[in-house]
Amino acid sequence: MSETLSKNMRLLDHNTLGGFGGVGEGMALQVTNKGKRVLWIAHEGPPKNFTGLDVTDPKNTRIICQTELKHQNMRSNSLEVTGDILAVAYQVYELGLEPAGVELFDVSDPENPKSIGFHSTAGPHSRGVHCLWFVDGEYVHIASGAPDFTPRHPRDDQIYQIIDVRNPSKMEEVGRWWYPGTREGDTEPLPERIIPEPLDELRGGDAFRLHNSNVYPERPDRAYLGYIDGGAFILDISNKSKPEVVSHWSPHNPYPGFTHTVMPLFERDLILVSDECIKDDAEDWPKLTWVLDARNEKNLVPISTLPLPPVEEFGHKGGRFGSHNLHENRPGPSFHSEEIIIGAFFNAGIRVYNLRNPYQPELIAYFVPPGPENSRVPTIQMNEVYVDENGIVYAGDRWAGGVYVMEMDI
Amino acid sequence: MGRWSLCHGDGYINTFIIYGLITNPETVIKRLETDLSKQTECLTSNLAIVNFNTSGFRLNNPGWADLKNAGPINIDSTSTMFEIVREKIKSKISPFSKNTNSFIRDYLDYIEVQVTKINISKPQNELFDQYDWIFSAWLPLTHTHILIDELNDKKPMEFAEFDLCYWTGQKILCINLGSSSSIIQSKQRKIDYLKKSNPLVEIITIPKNIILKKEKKFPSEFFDTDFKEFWNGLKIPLGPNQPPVLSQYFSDQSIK
Repeated sequence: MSETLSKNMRLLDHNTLGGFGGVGEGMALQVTNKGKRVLWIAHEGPPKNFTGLDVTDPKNTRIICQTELKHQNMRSNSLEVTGDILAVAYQVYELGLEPAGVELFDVSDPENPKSIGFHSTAGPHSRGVHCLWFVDGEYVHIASGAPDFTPRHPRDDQIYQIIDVRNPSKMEEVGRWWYPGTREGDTEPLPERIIPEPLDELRGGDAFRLHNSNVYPERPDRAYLGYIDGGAFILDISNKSKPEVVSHWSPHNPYPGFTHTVMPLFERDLILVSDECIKDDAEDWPKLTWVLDARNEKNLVPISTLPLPPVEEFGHKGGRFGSHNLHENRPGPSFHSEEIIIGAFFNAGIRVYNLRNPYQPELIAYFVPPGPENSRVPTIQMNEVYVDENGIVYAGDRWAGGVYVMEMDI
Repeated sequence: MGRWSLCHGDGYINTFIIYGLITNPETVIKRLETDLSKQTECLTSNLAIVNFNTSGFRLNNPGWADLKNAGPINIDSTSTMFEIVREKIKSKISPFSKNTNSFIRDYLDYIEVQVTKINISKPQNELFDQYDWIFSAWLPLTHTHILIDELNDKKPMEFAEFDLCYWTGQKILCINLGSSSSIIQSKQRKIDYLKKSNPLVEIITIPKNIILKKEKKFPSEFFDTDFKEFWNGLKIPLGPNQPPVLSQYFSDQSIK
């Protein structure tokens, strides 16, 4: 694909991050007390840890900070910033390696991040933290293995953990939950695999492990979990030491699994659930984003999906095609909408939907740039998206394209 | 296809308000186009046309709901009829609009309290009681879409959107219920255009923290006395199932 496909979106800037343009699943915006706006970016893989991009002028972004990982057998796929505190997830490629866990940085001087604490989740059955959520300055919610958690199935290793970070130098786990039956010793049976894969591949998709955990100030007593093949969970975390299931919804099977994000729209009693595409060339098509009626949170009902472009047009262009990360309406300098939904759809680019009629979501804008140079695949692979409070869209390519800065005309 | 101008040469303005549970306001206008071309004012279950000469829309206006077929209920009291009206209004609110639902609930509770403040003198008190006035309260038109441009065949219709509105005979009170959603440019542009071009429109924005307050209380402080004392200027209370002749007679008698 050699030309940009777009509707109601315009590219303002494109930054390939100094040649390290593989963007992971973390983007967060900091506005410093001097008014500088810094987009913190997680990388898909080594050697870079995270990048700070000055986006004060979104038409002229520039790198002000780029850090290195401790070694090449790890990644920091996810990050969040609240105020001047940056939380970074460390995941390792082999069980038992270190560092695996969460590191906090003081980024009040964004050109010189200072480590202020580390919480290890390393252990013989742990790969560390894949994703984290940190919006209140007090608790980090992580998808991670743990030193004392032995999964029955090697790929069921990331469980939900709540980390109290009010004292960054002494972070501690205050609560955890996992899919019943996935821990060695559970009385429940191991959940049946949706599409079984060979056991020797640690990163396989047939997993009952946590991906995203979203907790919003509107409902601090609720955690919204995307539990990969386990589907979507709402947990009551009013007692953080003892999370309890409020409800569970899963389209798997017959749908091919990998629930990623569970995002509530509180003023409308709706929930969006994205299933991540994890295979190239539409091998796991369709990977949908579901719209759930959540008026009764104990009985979630699917009412529509965000329409995807035709599989015959996008499915075999190269790379992944389907749902992935959504802009998550997080607090802070962030676009918040219960009608306009913005998502990253790999080779279908960034897509913007109007959800005014939740029974018939409508595509109102999109941006699909050409495949970037030096990518593993010939297409763009939009992996992550963040929209600021002014409606400026920041999107990251998974392999090489770096960050695309766009404005919406909607 | 025949179309009509919103504005006439003498400043006379027809404002087209589409409301209720609709997915595409343009289809409502198109469907009714033939009939509309013969009228300058009307109130139907999802469309209202108002101008300077249109009396305010109250709960007892015919057209917005068919109350004759309200169900196999013995309507033996004003309160039963009001419950039916309440349900009719609720049926025009999206189940996915918590703010509008709670605002309307609080409004309907509020007007029940307001009517208790009415002084009724003889001989009216032998015919009516205070509660009968409840159907004189202003009619909320939920999920309001107001046509903002000339109707012509050349371009798609455009609408300014509000959570609800009231037509008081003098103003279209357009209500924005505070939301945490960032407003998008096109929506704001249409609202700005409407504000500039239509002298009937007054916009009231009620902040999110007021809407979300735990106690169920109608935010009356955002409304003026004419709104709150909706019975002022009316001679007698009328119910919602009034004969058209009576309706027309008392409408003409009302003080606007």
